Amino acid sequence: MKSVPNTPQSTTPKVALFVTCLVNQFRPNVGFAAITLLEHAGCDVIVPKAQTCCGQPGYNNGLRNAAIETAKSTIKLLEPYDYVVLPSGSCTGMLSKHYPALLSDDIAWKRRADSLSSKTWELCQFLVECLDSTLPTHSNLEGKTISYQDSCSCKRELNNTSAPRQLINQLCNGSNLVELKDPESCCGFGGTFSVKYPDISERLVSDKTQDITATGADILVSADLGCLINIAGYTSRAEPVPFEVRHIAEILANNLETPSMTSGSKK
Amino acid sequence: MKPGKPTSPETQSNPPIHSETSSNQALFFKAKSSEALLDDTLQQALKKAQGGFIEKRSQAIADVENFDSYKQQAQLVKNHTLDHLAYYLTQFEENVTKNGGHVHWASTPEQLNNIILHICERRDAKSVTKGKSMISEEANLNAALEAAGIDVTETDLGEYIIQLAKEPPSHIIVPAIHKTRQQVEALFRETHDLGERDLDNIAALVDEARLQLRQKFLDADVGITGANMLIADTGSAMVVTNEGNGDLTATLPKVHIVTASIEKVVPDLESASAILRVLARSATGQPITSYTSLFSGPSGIEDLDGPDEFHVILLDNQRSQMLGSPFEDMLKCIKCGACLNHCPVYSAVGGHAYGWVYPGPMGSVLTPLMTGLKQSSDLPNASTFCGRCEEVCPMGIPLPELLRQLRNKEHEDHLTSWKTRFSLKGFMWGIQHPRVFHWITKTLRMILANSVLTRLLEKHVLTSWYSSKELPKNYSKGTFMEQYQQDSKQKKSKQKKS
Amino acid sequence: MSINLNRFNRVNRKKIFNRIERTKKSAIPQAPKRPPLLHPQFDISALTEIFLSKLSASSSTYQSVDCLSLVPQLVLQYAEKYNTNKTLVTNLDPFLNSDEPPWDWPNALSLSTPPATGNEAIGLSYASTAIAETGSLVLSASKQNPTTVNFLTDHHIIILNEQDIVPNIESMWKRLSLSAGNMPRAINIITGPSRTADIEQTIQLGAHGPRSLHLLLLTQPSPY
Repeated sequence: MKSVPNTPQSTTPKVALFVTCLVNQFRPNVGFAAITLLEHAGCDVIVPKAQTCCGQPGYNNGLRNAAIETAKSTIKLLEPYDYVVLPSGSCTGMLSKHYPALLSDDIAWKRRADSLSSKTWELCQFLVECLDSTLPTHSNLEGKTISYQDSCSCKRELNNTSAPRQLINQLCNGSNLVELKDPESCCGFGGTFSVKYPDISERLVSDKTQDITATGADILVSADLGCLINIAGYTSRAEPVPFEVRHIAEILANNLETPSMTSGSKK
Repeated sequence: MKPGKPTSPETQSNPPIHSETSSNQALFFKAKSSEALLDDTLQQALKKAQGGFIEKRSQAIADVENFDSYKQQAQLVKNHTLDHLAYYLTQFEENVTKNGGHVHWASTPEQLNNIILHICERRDAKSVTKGKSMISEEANLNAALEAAGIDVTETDLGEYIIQLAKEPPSHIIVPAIHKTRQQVEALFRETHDLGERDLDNIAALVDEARLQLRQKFLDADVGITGANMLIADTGSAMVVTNEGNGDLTATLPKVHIVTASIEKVVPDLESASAILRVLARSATGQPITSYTSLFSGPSGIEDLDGPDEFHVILLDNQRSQMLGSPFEDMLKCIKCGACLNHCPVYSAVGGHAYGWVYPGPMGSVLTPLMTGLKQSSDLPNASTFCGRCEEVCPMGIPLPELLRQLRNKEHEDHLTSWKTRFSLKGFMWGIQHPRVFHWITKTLRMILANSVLTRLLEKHVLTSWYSSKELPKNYSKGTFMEQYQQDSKQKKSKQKKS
Repeated sequence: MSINLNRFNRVNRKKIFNRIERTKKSAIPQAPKRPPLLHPQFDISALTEIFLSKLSASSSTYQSVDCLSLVPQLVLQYAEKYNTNKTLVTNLDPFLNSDEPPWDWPNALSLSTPPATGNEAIGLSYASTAIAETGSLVLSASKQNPTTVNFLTDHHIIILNEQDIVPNIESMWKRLSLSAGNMPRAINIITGPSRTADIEQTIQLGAHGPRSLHLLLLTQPSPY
């Protein structure tokens, strides 16, 4: 695990929230849920105004130089804060793993990227491994069965599989967390992959949906909005919709007024 | 090449050999993968295969104390060897010669074929048996031998099945993984003239192949195998099989030819042991295969069996170009197939969609490097970057990063469509300009809130997404940034009032 | 024509080496030092036990023998168990000391000498060493142990002296003490009978080589 930077423990940590472009566009309540959780945990949450996107679409599609520019401006924007927290595994991975790799040829920038990396956290992992604070629980999901889908970035880039499960068990009183039969496999999103190869993506998400349905889950949650948009986008067309789809921050923060992601327009 | 006509490997005027198997069909990945998804028999075969491999591997790894340490040792060996490749190749050549064998050098697959044809003709060979060799697949050797009038028989059961079906392999260790037993039965009935018989179970199918191939082994003039490793220190080729076909191929004919690529060399037997320890566990989930054999030359005066000639042909085929390049890590590949077995895309579409010899993640890196990126530009993109291939690779090859590098190259070389380039460049420019970006996201939210405009978007812009999925609905009154700024303003004004 | 091939090899070899050396990675003329490697360790006092459990896991069978003179009877019993024809190919007699009484072969067995032709049901060989780590038997090609016996017979019986079991793969190579110019033509590390899973990933024994593998573990050195 990464080392926690030396910040004076007596003062409230200044946490920059990077909401990610997908949350900004499609699911703003995830950002507000994240703020709620972080404030409950005693953080001073700041949302830097000039934030946009971490640059993954360019980075993963051959625009290396443009991604370097994005990395630099994102580092500049976020380095003044004690911590940077994102409600997304893949964007966290981009900042903490891929920025340092992108900037490895430039000593000064590499140092700044490493420094940002050491204080960048995925939301759940931050709450559990970095803060270890006591958060308010709620009983709004009592009797509900919840299934958690590990995003590939959370699992493989951040080694972050226990924190989200621990939080669900601790905060959602009376809920029942069930595991997928095949938690290792990708949901088929893959960013631009889902648009470039829609039929392969469809096959993968259909397998994933079957697995989720078989658990009998009422709600599927994940820490990445990309996976959720993919799964919800596909299941929205099912009749009846087999389960609700929500970001994990929503259920942890008891931010449940917004309808499930599967309640979109139906064909 | 005409049968009977003497060939010299130096003859460069031979037309390059191309057929269904060796020519690169990767251009058609998209079409072929869509076909594969609709092929029920193929889907049935793939579903059966995938789970088994994953389970067996994870069991084999759980059975040992520290698989990560095994991986580390194997990687140490490969890193060291690649750093001193010229030295170890030289040592290997010296020692093969010391053992009474011959080493040949081929820059291109065509040259490899020509050397083999040359040896076959010198020995007046009429029939050849082959153990599994991916190098010979790179060269499409079978077609070259057949064109020269030589009867060639693949002896690995999977390779034999696809040879009968006139298909290329669809997996590097299980070439006929895409065939069901019913398909194999039909193939055997069609090609073996054995009359009425029961073939409705796998045992009967395997027995029939054994019977057919036994005579081929005994009759062959030349045996050609691949090699999993070449041992510099002893001048030996190591061949790993479960069936024993490699051993029969190497032992019964009068000539044994080993085809291998240059990066297969390792310093010594201790190094080979480190790689053996991860190879079968990653491939089939076995601690070691049934047969691990070391071939070190022709038979001696005392030997009662074995060939009287031993050749090793070393193929380069772009590998020396990968050395010292950003793709050098790919030379660590030991061809275990773990990345195929764990790849969601491979598991969905099978191997043939990839269009050349090597499928799955390793193939998506190797095919562009060996046959040209332009001819295989789909392959580096056919990955969700889920990272499972890198996780299971015993040699720690950063496959997603190598695919990303190829995508960079595609962009630099203008191999992507102008539409893609335009929209990506536009997006990346937009995120460097926060004001513009936030204006666009606001506008987009409004478009998506309007059902007529959304339908237009669905029909004309995001058609491939909408082919099976809906876009999520934003239930808020704006983007997050809009909302957040409004909230903060309200808070501030409240504070002022109070 | 062979002159052509030589020249061809020389030219191509040079081209390939030029490309490799372009990377400047291989300029060192003297022998590079390979980094030391770790070997898995095993409890030396339990080698036989570990070996036999791995051997069984590879679908092989075994029985202990305390005297070599019992071998002919055991071979016959094995043939009877598999109800196979009683043809045997072996060349093992030279392994016995010259002052030993010859093996007393039962009349029921029809004996032939190697190379194997594919018509013999049973092959009898001798493993010079065995690996506890993997449950493997290691057979070096020699006049006494020709390779065809290992692969052309339906059932393979292998004699192993218990003292020849070594802990891991590396110690096996060390025991064989091999060097270029003095290599056996073939060394077969055999772990179970021949098998294939090429049709629907269903494991089937006896693909091309032996359908069964049986070990006679000689627990004591020959008493003669």
